[in-house]
Amino acid sequence: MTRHADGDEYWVDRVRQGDGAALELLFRRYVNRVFGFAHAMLRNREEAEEVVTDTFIRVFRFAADVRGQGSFESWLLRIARNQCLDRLRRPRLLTLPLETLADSARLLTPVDEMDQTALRYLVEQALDQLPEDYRTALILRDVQGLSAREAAEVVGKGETAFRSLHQRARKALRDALQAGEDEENE
Amino acid sequence: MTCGDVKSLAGNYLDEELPEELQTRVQRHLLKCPGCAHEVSSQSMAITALRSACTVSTPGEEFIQSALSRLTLELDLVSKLPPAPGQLVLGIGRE
Repeated sequence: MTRHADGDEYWVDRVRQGDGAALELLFRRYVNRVFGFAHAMLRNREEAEEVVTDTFIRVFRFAADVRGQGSFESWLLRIARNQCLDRLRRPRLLTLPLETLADSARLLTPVDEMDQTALRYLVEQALDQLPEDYRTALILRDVQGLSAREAAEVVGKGETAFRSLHQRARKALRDALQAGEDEENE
Repeated sequence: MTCGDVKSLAGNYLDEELPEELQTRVQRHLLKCPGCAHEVSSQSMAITALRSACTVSTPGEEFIQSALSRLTLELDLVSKLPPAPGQLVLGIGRE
């Protein structure tokens, strides 16, 4: 690893030597981050939990490969992303909110005036129309709050290329949301 | 500052990553250019909608415990975290 937060590299070495305490420390340090990302990508709690477990197993089974992969967190999220992509490629049951969209025409009105379920439905519909790398960029940067440099590491791009991708993703999301609004108005 | 400049700086402007002076110049341009103002505000609203709809979820402690047990088994690990300072450890032979 080229960088590490609060001695991640030390604890990774300890896990490699069979130290369960080190595993618990690293797991608790990053479980929320990995779970949050997987849940946002898959929108399914059980699948997100499976991704978390599989990600940590892979990381520590192949811990020797971690060096040179950027920060431990980026490495984790990169593996989690691959796990999510594998799952998204499989045939999945459609899970749609039970409530119908009653007032999506108010999309671009202030968010606090809008029903949260309707808003989530609209945003999910818009996200579904975007390419996967756009969705990943938006989730990492705008939902999870990673810096552009951290998010770039996760998706394996340079920071400038990631910033450009992220900017295109934001515009595409805006356009998809507006298209959804226009459809409702017709 | 031109509309093209604002277009290329919009993302950094929304993330408040620009130097203060540049941030102010973009802001001034937005006040007098309805086209750019609409472009930036519609992006801003889309980001707000995304953040509001995709609240970050956290896993439950039950899952964490079961995942740690599975990981410990699968990775053939042995030890447990030592008790935190001040934590009581009950055992045979203690008074």
